[in-house]
Amino acid sequence: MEAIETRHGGTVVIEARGRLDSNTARSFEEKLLGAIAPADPVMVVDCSQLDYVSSAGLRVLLMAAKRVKAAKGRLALCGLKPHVQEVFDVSGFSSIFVIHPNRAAALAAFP
Amino acid sequence: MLDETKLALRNDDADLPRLNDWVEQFGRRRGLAHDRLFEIKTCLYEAVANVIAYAYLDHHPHQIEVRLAIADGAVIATVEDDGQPFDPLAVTLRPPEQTIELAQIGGRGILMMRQFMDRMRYERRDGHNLLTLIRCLPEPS
Repeated sequence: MEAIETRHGGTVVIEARGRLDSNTARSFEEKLLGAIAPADPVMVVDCSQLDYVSSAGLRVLLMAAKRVKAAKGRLALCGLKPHVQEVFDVSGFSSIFVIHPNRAAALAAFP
Repeated sequence: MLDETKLALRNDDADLPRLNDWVEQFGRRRGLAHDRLFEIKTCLYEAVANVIAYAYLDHHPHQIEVRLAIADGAVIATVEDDGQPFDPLAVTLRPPEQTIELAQIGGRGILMMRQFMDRMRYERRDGHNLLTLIRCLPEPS
Protein backbone atom coordinates (compact mmCIF):
# COMPACT_ATOMS: atom_id res chain seq x y z
CA MET A 1 0.00 0.00 0.00
CA GLU A 2 1.30 3.38 -0.99
CA ALA A 3 -0.17 6.87 -0.74
CA ILE A 4 1.29 9.44 -3.07
CA GLU A 5 0.53 13.08 -2.39
CA THR A 6 0.57 15.73 -5.10
CA ARG A 7 -0.86 19.23 -5.44
CA HIS A 8 -2.87 20.62 -8.30
CA GLY A 9 -3.46 24.30 -7.63
CA GLY A 10 -5.28 24.39 -4.31
CA THR A 11 -6.29 20.74 -4.45
CA VAL A 12 -4.39 18.00 -2.63
CA VAL A 13 -4.51 14.68 -4.47
CA ILE A 14 -3.76 11.49 -2.59
CA GLU A 15 -3.26 8.53 -4.87
CA ALA A 16 -3.94 5.29 -2.98
CA ARG A 17 -2.16 2.27 -4.45
CA GLY A 18 -2.47 -1.42 -3.59
CA ARG A 19 -4.63 -2.87 -0.82
CA LEU A 20 -6.27 -0.74 1.83
CA ASP A 21 -7.12 -3.24 4.57
CA SER A 22 -6.44 -4.11 8.23
CA ASN A 23 -2.72 -4.36 7.55
CA THR A 24 -2.38 -1.02 5.80
CA ALA A 25 -5.20 1.15 7.16
CA ARG A 26 -3.16 2.67 9.97
CA SER A 27 -0.35 4.05 7.82
CA PHE A 28 -2.85 5.28 5.24
CA GLU A 29 -4.85 6.97 7.99
CA GLU A 30 -1.76 8.87 9.15
CA LYS A 31 -0.97 9.98 5.63
CA LEU A 32 -4.51 10.95 4.67
CA LEU A 33 -5.47 12.73 7.88
CA GLY A 34 -2.08 14.44 7.90
CA ALA A 35 -2.75 15.87 4.44
CA ILE A 36 -5.97 17.64 5.49
CA ALA A 37 -5.40 21.40 5.66
CA PRO A 38 -6.77 23.04 8.82
CA ALA A 39 -9.10 25.36 6.91
CA ASP A 40 -11.10 24.85 3.71
CA PRO A 41 -9.26 21.69 2.61
CA VAL A 42 -9.92 20.60 -0.95
CA MET A 43 -8.94 16.99 -1.57
CA VAL A 44 -9.20 14.18 -4.08
CA VAL A 45 -8.46 10.57 -3.22
CA ASP A 46 -7.49 8.92 -6.50
CA CYS A 47 -8.40 5.22 -6.26
CA SER A 48 -7.46 4.23 -9.81
CA GLN A 49 -4.54 2.15 -8.50
CA LEU A 50 -6.40 0.85 -5.45
CA ASP A 51 -6.96 -2.90 -5.80
CA TYR A 52 -8.97 -3.60 -2.68
CA VAL A 53 -10.66 -1.86 0.21
CA SER A 54 -11.86 -3.60 3.38
CA SER A 55 -14.05 -2.12 6.11
CA ALA A 56 -10.87 -0.96 7.86
CA GLY A 57 -10.10 1.10 4.76
CA LEU A 58 -13.64 2.44 4.51
CA ARG A 59 -13.34 3.59 8.09
CA VAL A 60 -10.28 5.72 7.24
CA LEU A 61 -11.98 7.28 4.22
CA LEU A 62 -15.06 8.16 6.27
CA MET A 63 -12.97 9.63 9.08
CA ALA A 64 -11.13 11.82 6.56
CA ALA A 65 -14.41 12.90 4.94
CA LYS A 66 -15.85 13.85 8.34
CA ARG A 67 -12.75 15.90 9.18
CA VAL A 68 -12.81 17.66 5.83
CA LYS A 69 -16.51 18.46 6.31
CA ALA A 70 -15.86 19.79 9.81
CA ALA A 71 -13.15 22.06 8.38
CA LYS A 72 -15.67 23.34 5.79
CA GLY A 73 -13.72 21.75 2.99
CA ARG A 74 -14.48 19.35 0.17
CA LEU A 75 -13.37 15.81 -0.55
CA ALA A 76 -14.03 13.69 -3.61
CA LEU A 77 -12.95 10.22 -4.70
CA CYS A 78 -12.21 9.10 -8.24
CA GLY A 79 -11.30 6.13 -10.40
CA LEU A 80 -12.85 3.29 -8.38
CA LYS A 81 -12.08 -0.15 -9.82
CA PRO A 82 -15.10 -2.46 -10.15
CA HIS A 83 -14.50 -4.46 -6.94
CA VAL A 84 -13.83 -1.31 -4.93
CA GLN A 85 -17.01 0.20 -6.37
CA GLU A 86 -18.89 -2.95 -5.37
CA VAL A 87 -17.68 -2.68 -1.76
CA PHE A 88 -18.74 0.98 -1.78
CA ASP A 89 -22.18 0.01 -3.09
CA VAL A 90 -22.92 -2.70 -0.52
CA SER A 91 -21.62 -0.66 2.39
CA GLY A 92 -23.65 2.42 1.52
CA PHE A 93 -20.62 4.56 0.71
CA SER A 94 -21.59 5.23 -2.92
CA SER A 95 -24.45 7.45 -1.82
CA ILE A 96 -22.54 9.55 0.71
CA PHE A 97 -19.27 10.20 -1.16
CA VAL A 98 -18.76 12.36 -4.21
CA ILE A 99 -17.23 9.99 -6.77
CA HIS A 100 -15.84 10.95 -10.17
CA PRO A 101 -14.80 8.56 -12.94
CA ASN A 102 -11.20 9.84 -13.05
CA ARG A 103 -8.79 12.40 -11.68
CA ALA A 104 -9.33 14.93 -14.47
CA ALA A 105 -13.08 14.94 -13.84
CA ALA A 106 -12.53 15.27 -10.07
CA LEU A 107 -10.15 18.22 -10.49
CA ALA A 108 -12.44 19.89 -13.02
CA ALA A 109 -15.29 19.73 -10.51
CA PHE A 110 -13.31 21.84 -8.01
CA PRO A 111 -13.13 25.38 -9.36
CA MET B 1 -20.33 -35.22 -0.82
CA LEU B 2 -18.63 -32.88 1.62
CA ASP B 3 -15.41 -31.49 0.28
CA GLU B 4 -13.94 -29.48 3.13
CA THR B 5 -10.65 -27.74 3.70
CA LYS B 6 -9.48 -25.90 6.81
CA LEU B 7 -6.94 -23.32 7.85
CA ALA B 8 -5.71 -22.30 11.29
CA LEU B 9 -4.84 -18.65 11.80
CA ARG B 10 -3.39 -16.69 14.70
CA ASN B 11 -5.27 -13.69 16.09
CA ASP B 12 -2.88 -11.33 14.34
CA ASP B 13 -3.53 -9.06 11.36
CA ALA B 14 -0.25 -10.30 9.91
CA ASP B 15 -1.98 -13.65 9.26
CA LEU B 16 -4.75 -12.14 7.11
CA PRO B 17 -2.80 -12.35 3.83
CA ARG B 18 -2.52 -16.13 4.43
CA LEU B 19 -6.30 -16.29 4.68
CA ASN B 20 -6.67 -14.46 1.36
CA ASP B 21 -4.19 -16.74 -0.40
CA TRP B 22 -5.90 -19.83 0.96
CA VAL B 23 -9.40 -18.70 -0.12
CA GLU B 24 -8.00 -17.77 -3.52
CA GLN B 25 -6.50 -21.25 -3.94
CA PHE B 26 -9.75 -22.90 -2.86
CA GLY B 27 -11.67 -20.85 -5.41
CA ARG B 28 -9.29 -21.63 -8.24
CA ARG B 29 -9.22 -25.35 -7.47
CA ARG B 30 -13.01 -25.50 -7.36
CA GLY B 31 -13.38 -23.30 -10.42
CA LEU B 32 -15.47 -20.65 -8.65
CA ALA B 33 -16.47 -17.66 -10.74
CA HIS B 34 -14.30 -14.59 -10.15
CA ASP B 35 -17.11 -12.49 -8.65
CA ARG B 36 -18.31 -15.25 -6.34
CA LEU B 37 -14.76 -15.80 -5.11
CA PHE B 38 -14.37 -12.08 -4.49
CA GLU B 39 -17.52 -12.01 -2.34
CA ILE B 40 -16.45 -15.00 -0.26
CA LYS B 41 -12.91 -13.72 0.14
CA THR B 42 -14.18 -10.30 1.20
CA CYS B 43 -16.64 -11.68 3.76
CA LEU B 44 -14.19 -14.14 5.30
CA TYR B 45 -11.63 -11.36 5.55
CA GLU B 46 -14.15 -9.14 7.33
CA ALA B 47 -15.28 -11.93 9.66
CA VAL B 48 -11.74 -12.90 10.68
CA ALA B 49 -10.56 -9.27 10.94
CA ASN B 50 -13.49 -8.65 13.32
CA VAL B 51 -12.50 -11.60 15.48
CA ILE B 52 -8.88 -10.43 15.61
CA ALA B 53 -9.91 -6.88 16.50
CA TYR B 54 -12.69 -7.50 19.01
CA ALA B 55 -13.00 -11.09 20.23
CA TYR B 56 -10.11 -11.20 22.68
CA LEU B 57 -9.81 -9.16 25.81
CA ASP B 58 -6.44 -10.66 26.73
CA HIS B 59 -3.26 -10.24 24.75
CA HIS B 60 -2.56 -13.94 24.41
CA PRO B 61 -2.22 -15.84 21.16
CA HIS B 62 -5.38 -17.62 20.04
CA GLN B 63 -6.24 -19.85 17.16
CA ILE B 64 -8.99 -19.04 14.69
CA GLU B 65 -10.11 -21.90 12.49
CA VAL B 66 -11.60 -21.25 9.08
CA ARG B 67 -13.28 -23.97 7.04
CA LEU B 68 -14.44 -23.90 3.46
CA ALA B 69 -16.64 -26.45 1.75
CA ILE B 70 -18.90 -26.80 -1.23
CA ALA B 71 -22.12 -28.64 -0.43
CA ASP B 72 -25.70 -28.56 -1.70
CA GLY B 73 -24.88 -26.08 -4.44
CA ALA B 74 -23.36 -23.52 -2.10
CA VAL B 75 -20.04 -22.41 -0.72
CA ILE B 76 -20.11 -22.80 3.05
CA ALA B 77 -17.52 -20.90 5.04
CA THR B 78 -17.16 -21.25 8.81
CA VAL B 79 -15.13 -19.16 11.22
CA GLU B 80 -14.57 -20.60 14.69
CA ASP B 81 -12.90 -18.72 17.54
CA ASP B 82 -12.63 -19.02 21.32
CA GLY B 83 -13.16 -15.31 21.97
CA GLN B 84 -15.93 -13.60 23.90
CA PRO B 85 -19.44 -14.36 22.62
CA PHE B 86 -20.37 -12.19 19.64
CA ASP B 87 -23.26 -12.71 17.25
CA PRO B 88 -22.88 -10.51 14.16
CA LEU B 89 -26.42 -11.43 13.12
CA ALA B 90 -27.79 -9.81 16.26
CA VAL B 91 -26.21 -6.43 15.51
CA THR B 92 -28.81 -3.85 14.59
CA LEU B 93 -27.56 -1.76 11.72
CA ARG B 94 -29.12 1.61 11.11
CA PRO B 95 -30.62 2.31 7.71
CA PRO B 96 -28.05 3.72 5.26
CA GLU B 97 -27.19 7.33 5.94
CA GLN B 98 -27.44 10.04 3.35
CA THR B 99 -24.69 12.35 4.59
CA ILE B 100 -21.06 12.15 5.66
CA GLU B 101 -21.92 13.91 8.94
CA LEU B 102 -24.50 11.28 9.94
CA ALA B 103 -22.63 8.23 8.66
CA GLN B 104 -21.47 5.84 11.37
CA ILE B 105 -17.87 4.78 11.26
CA GLY B 106 -18.36 1.17 12.40
CA GLY B 107 -20.43 -1.78 11.25
CA ARG B 108 -19.43 -1.76 7.57
CA GLY B 109 -17.87 -5.23 7.66
CA ILE B 110 -21.07 -6.78 9.01
CA LEU B 111 -23.07 -4.89 6.40
CA MET B 112 -20.83 -6.34 3.65
CA MET B 113 -21.35 -9.88 4.95
CA ARG B 114 -25.12 -9.46 5.03
CA GLN B 115 -25.18 -8.01 1.52
CA PHE B 116 -22.80 -10.44 -0.16
CA MET B 117 -23.90 -13.68 1.49
CA ASP B 118 -27.20 -15.52 0.94
CA ARG B 119 -27.41 -16.81 4.49
CA MET B 120 -25.52 -16.52 7.76
CA ARG B 121 -25.72 -18.60 10.91
CA TYR B 122 -24.28 -18.04 14.35
CA GLU B 123 -23.88 -20.48 17.16
CA ARG B 124 -22.13 -20.41 20.53
CA ARG B 125 -20.84 -23.92 21.22
CA ASP B 126 -18.47 -25.15 23.95
CA GLY B 127 -17.10 -21.68 24.57
CA HIS B 128 -16.55 -21.03 20.87
CA ASN B 129 -18.18 -18.69 18.37
CA LEU B 130 -19.19 -20.42 15.14
CA LEU B 131 -20.11 -18.13 12.29
CA THR B 132 -21.25 -19.75 9.05
CA LEU B 133 -21.46 -17.81 5.80
CA ILE B 134 -23.34 -19.34 2.89
CA ARG B 135 -23.22 -18.22 -0.72
CA CYS B 136 -25.26 -20.15 -3.26
CA LEU B 137 -23.67 -21.17 -6.53
CA PRO B 138 -25.52 -20.86 -9.82
CA GLU B 139 -27.17 -24.07 -11.11
CA PRO B 140 -24.77 -25.99 -13.37
CA SER B 141 -25.87 -25.45 -16.96
